[in-house]
Amino acid sequence: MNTGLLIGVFAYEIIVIVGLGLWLQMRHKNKVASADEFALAGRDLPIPVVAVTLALTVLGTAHILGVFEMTWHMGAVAIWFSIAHVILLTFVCLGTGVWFRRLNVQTVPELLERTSGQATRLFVSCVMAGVLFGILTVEAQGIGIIIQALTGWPIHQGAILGGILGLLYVLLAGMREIGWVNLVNAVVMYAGLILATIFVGAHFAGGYEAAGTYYENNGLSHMTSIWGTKATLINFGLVTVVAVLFSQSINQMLIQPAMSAKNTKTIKKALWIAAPVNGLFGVFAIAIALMARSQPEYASLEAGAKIGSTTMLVDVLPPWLAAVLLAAFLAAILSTFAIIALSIATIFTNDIYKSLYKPEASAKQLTNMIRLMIILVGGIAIAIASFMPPILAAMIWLFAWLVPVFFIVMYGIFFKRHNGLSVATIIIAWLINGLWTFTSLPLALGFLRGVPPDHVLNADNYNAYVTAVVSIAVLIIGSFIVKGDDGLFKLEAKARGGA
Amino acid sequence: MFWSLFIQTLIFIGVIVAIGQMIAKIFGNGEEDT
Repeated sequence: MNTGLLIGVFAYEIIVIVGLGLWLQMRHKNKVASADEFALAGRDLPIPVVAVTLALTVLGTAHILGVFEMTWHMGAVAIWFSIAHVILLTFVCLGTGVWFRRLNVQTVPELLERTSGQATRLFVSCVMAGVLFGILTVEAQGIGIIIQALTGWPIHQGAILGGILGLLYVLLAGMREIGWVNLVNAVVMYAGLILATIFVGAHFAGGYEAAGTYYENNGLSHMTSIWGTKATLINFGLVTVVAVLFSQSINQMLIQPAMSAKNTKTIKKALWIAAPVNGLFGVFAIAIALMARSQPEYASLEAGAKIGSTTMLVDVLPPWLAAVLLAAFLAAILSTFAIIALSIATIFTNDIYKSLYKPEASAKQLTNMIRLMIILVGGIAIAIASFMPPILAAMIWLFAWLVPVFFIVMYGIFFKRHNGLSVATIIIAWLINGLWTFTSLPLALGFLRGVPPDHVLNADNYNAYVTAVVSIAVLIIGSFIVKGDDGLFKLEAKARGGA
Repeated sequence: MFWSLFIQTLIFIGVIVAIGQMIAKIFGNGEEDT
């Protein structure tokens, strides 16, 4: 790509990010300083901003590079990664997001203190921040890879430049900035994606239809079906739905935009925009990857799954369109990078710094601490981005650690609150997850390691199931042993009834 | 191939959102506003 176009892309990002950030900062300068202003946009974001932010928060590196890679191996069944996120967004917009907004907390661990005591709050803060940091490093790696694929720059240089843009995305005006920049970037993202898909189709004789025929003629018709084969549907499709739904629906990065909404109705209505904006992205990524895999020159590439699709895009697209596509991919990844950095910083400031050390801290001090933490965690993630494992596998593994938190939150909101049982559930689920990952426990149970990702007995696919089953079992058994207090919503209903 | 994927996914999204709305309505979730 020529230097002029490249400068154009980065100039566009800087103008939108810094311009909107400064404008929002000036516009809301006179607002009374409150702790919610920076982290939760004063809890007054409108429907389109909440919708696009929810959609883009869970649309990042995995949706682009991960789906390219999965499509190469398994075909269109990779769309289940997108479908899992649509189910997730539905659950958040009609369930967890609404509940957290109603309870008026700032972070997920803060709610946990109300259901399961301070120890659980601290415990979950540390692990949630750790899991989020893991995802942040994957996103930083993704920024580097995308910039490298489209420009030829080394990954670490791309990660540094992209990381700086990601930090600017949030530093000036916090959640409000993330929301409005997302709204502008979503338009550019879809424009780039649609144009690239059309160009790729027009470049090869017969377009996408011919690619479909290629798979059919070679006995690979499952590659173009969203149902794939029975094995891929169960071992990839279902696993993804379980991992994504149970861990992300209580993850701070997705709950924070919901908490920033004007009211609960805003979140519910946002679903109608968020679901298609997020869900349809995968269709374009899969079509591009299937086209690349059907062309002999890309199918025969060494490590084709990782680089085949992007190599084809660079070869086929005119430089100006490659530049628009770079802007589109950057928009998707930077938005995720920014909100994860903000989520970690909010958890640290609210649940550790304020809760343990400085309960009397002013709104200004808290905002400054959030800013400092954003720079710190973002900087470290960029620095270690070059040493990361395969993208989608890393994501699914990281998600599994949050699964027990989902179950204790649901248990505490709707059923019973018991500090000891919550702590026990988390410890036992994490312990078993650790054993499952680092010992030969799965091998003893008949599972395998080192087999292809879609193999029915591949132990690496089952971390989310393991943590889900263990959490449910401990909570059910525990319910018979301990008494516990009423769940939060039961308590609320009683208070209303008594009033 | 592209349009078939696109339309199937769109239908899927519509069905998931509609089922979600129905379930939320049945449970009368979040009727009061903050």
